[in-house]
Amino acid sequence: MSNFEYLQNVSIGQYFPLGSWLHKRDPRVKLVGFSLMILALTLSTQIKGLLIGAGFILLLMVLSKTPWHYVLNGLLTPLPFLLILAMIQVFITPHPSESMPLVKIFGFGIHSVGIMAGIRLLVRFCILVILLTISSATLSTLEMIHGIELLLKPLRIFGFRTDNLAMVLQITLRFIPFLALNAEKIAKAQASRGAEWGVKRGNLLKRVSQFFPLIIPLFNNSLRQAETLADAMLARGYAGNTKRTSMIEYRITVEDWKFLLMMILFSLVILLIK
Amino acid sequence: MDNVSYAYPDSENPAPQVLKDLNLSINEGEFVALIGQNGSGKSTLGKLLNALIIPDQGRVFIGDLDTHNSVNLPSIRRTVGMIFQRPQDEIVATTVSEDIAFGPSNLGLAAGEITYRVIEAMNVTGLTGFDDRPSYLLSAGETQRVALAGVLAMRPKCIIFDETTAMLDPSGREMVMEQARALNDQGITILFITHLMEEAAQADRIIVLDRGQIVMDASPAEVFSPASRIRSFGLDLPPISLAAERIRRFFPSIPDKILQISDLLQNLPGYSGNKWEQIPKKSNGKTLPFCVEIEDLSHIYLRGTPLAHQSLDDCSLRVAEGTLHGLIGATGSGKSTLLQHLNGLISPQSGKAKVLGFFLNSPDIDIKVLRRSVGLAFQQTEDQIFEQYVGDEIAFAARNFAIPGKISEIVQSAMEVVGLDFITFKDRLTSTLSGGERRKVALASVLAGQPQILLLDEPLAGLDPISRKEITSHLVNLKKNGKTLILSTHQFEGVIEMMDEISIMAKGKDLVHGKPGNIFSDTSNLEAAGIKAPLVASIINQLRHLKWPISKEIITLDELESSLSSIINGEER
Repeated sequence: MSNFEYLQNVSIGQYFPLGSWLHKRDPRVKLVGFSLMILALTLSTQIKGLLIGAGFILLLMVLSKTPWHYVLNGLLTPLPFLLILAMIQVFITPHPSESMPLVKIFGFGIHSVGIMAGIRLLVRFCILVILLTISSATLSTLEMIHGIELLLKPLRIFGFRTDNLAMVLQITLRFIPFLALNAEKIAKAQASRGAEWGVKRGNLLKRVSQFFPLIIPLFNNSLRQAETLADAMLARGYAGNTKRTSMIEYRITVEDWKFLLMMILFSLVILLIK
Repeated sequence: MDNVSYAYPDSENPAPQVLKDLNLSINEGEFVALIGQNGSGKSTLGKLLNALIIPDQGRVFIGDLDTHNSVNLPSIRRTVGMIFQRPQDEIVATTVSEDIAFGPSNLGLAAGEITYRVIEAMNVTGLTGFDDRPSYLLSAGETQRVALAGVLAMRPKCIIFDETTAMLDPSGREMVMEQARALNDQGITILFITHLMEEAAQADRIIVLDRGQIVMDASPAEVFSPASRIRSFGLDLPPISLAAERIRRFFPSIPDKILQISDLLQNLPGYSGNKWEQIPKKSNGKTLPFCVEIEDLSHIYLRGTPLAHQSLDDCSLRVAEGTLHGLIGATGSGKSTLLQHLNGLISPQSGKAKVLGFFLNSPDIDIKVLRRSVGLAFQQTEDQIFEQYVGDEIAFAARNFAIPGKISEIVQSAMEVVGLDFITFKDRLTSTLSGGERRKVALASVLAGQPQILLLDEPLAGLDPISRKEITSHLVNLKKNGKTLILSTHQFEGVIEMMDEISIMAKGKDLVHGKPGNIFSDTSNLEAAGIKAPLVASIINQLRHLKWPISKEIITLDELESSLSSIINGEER
């Protein structure tokens, strides 16, 4: 396998045109549905709720036809950070004063409440990452942007430019895979001239410090590309202050209601289970 | 608008002036080519017409709309569409249809009309079925078509192609040219900015730009004669005209001002003499040891995802030490992937690979040592150059590989090899370099690592004729100094004569390999790989068809000339 296929490891923000039942739902219900689920998973205080949530998410993954190893790959990249976060959580969780620490490390006591909090955090974030991967795999950016625009439409009476917000979102998302591709190219250019890239040695710190020389060229490249993109957008008649129309008009169907109902149900179960 | 005209009286930019006191008008329905050296102001001129930049002095009128007046901008941009140098930078959306719909959406059209236009634009550009394809996973040619479709969907009256073809292979370029022609036939005005003289020759009118000023503005036939005038602006004749010039002394039937290959081939006379075919004697010395041996290499990108695609498919390659090996194939044939294997950027998924005694499959290979011996210059210099200053960029490899000697001396000698002046360029910002200079810096930055094998991915793309010649001669010198060069290209006109061996690549396979003469005389392989025969090979094939006793192993104009003179004058060689 190539050491440079960063794209392979960035799964959030990538759309897969697989045409599943989930793909065909109206963007508004998908947005509302996924948001409810995210909210429920974030607010749930019970590990039981989170584990049931994990089950629901596996069901969604099957419905969306997203390949499981792709989803897992996307999870591996942020996993070290999540583990560190969970570790911190273990130490900083306040514990009842009468509870006895299970172990003492460097004078810090580890309590069972802390461990539970750490596990909850880890599970919560892992499911959230998977959910985000699935939602972006089934919700194309066009759909998402139109969805947000349509959902926020009522705000227009207050003079809020929902279409501009939609454009900002569109561009941001479009840049994600290009950033990964850019990083890949710069890393390759540096590696082929002797930088320690893809050379399998060095500790974690050394490997993290490899990323620094990447950052400035990446910014430079991205800024230059953004400039060209701005030109290209202007050249294609984007003005920012004129009314834009869209290619697709959406209508909510019975199937869409079914999906929304399912997501509401899931969210309630996750939140309310004791 | 009946009469579209653009004019720049006294257009002027602050120092350095990119365009100076330019006056120009283009009529509706014209097909105009704009040529000039790297950095002569061609792109700037294009942007002025699209009102992306407003002249500091003077006025630009699109029809009777002044670009100074911001009220006019929407209508101007509806009238003049523009396709840029790097199409991947102009993609707005994440899927193809979404991106094409961007322009029409800005025009405020109804949903049905947008859909209709998107489908129409996709049909015209051959993108049918690409609707939901992610825009970042397209090949260079496909991205180019998306960019064109995006402009077409706005139904402009004029389209500016800004070096749109620079990164495309010959069939891709031909497709763009054909589409530009077809659009022009429908009455759309075309402004074609290009480095390739053969493309410019197909226009109705050529404008030559030199250091920000229009120095010529005439029909192709007038612009390209006399040859000395166009050369004085750092440009050259189209290859076909060059070839016609040189063989006219043997065939007086060839008319003046040849601009199309068909005009030349039709005017070649039949042979009526009685000489036998002569096989040119070639020094066939000792066989050199191989430094690259690759067998049945396969590679799949994004393996295990729904986006997986096979880039190399049981590909084999052998390169002898001290030779120049050409990898020739259409875009997407796997050339770049193969090159990236050779210096360990990609590890083999299957197959055997040995480079300079390194087994690439071996888990304990010291990749850094391999990369020091095998330098890679990338296809697009934008992707390769990452430092802010030229000096740092070139020093990077020398520092990392700890090349013995003073860094500044290593940098200086690397710069000298490619003809860059050390004092002038070492402190230049890399972002201010012209296309030709960037290419030289990229080459020098690889040379500073003092590799034994040089991998060059499309080293001539996007260069004007003078820069092409310069880079080519530097490559020849490197070979003379004992380096092994592996060069991938689809713009092989002018470089094949220096290649010792050629591999034709198609769909990830090495279709055929051998000496250039043998390869190019067999057109069936070339067709299968989607590439065109080089000019000299076409002429020789036609001459042989007309019974001329010329060896098919000839690949250069020099060889053709001496062969013809020996046949006609009876000279012994």
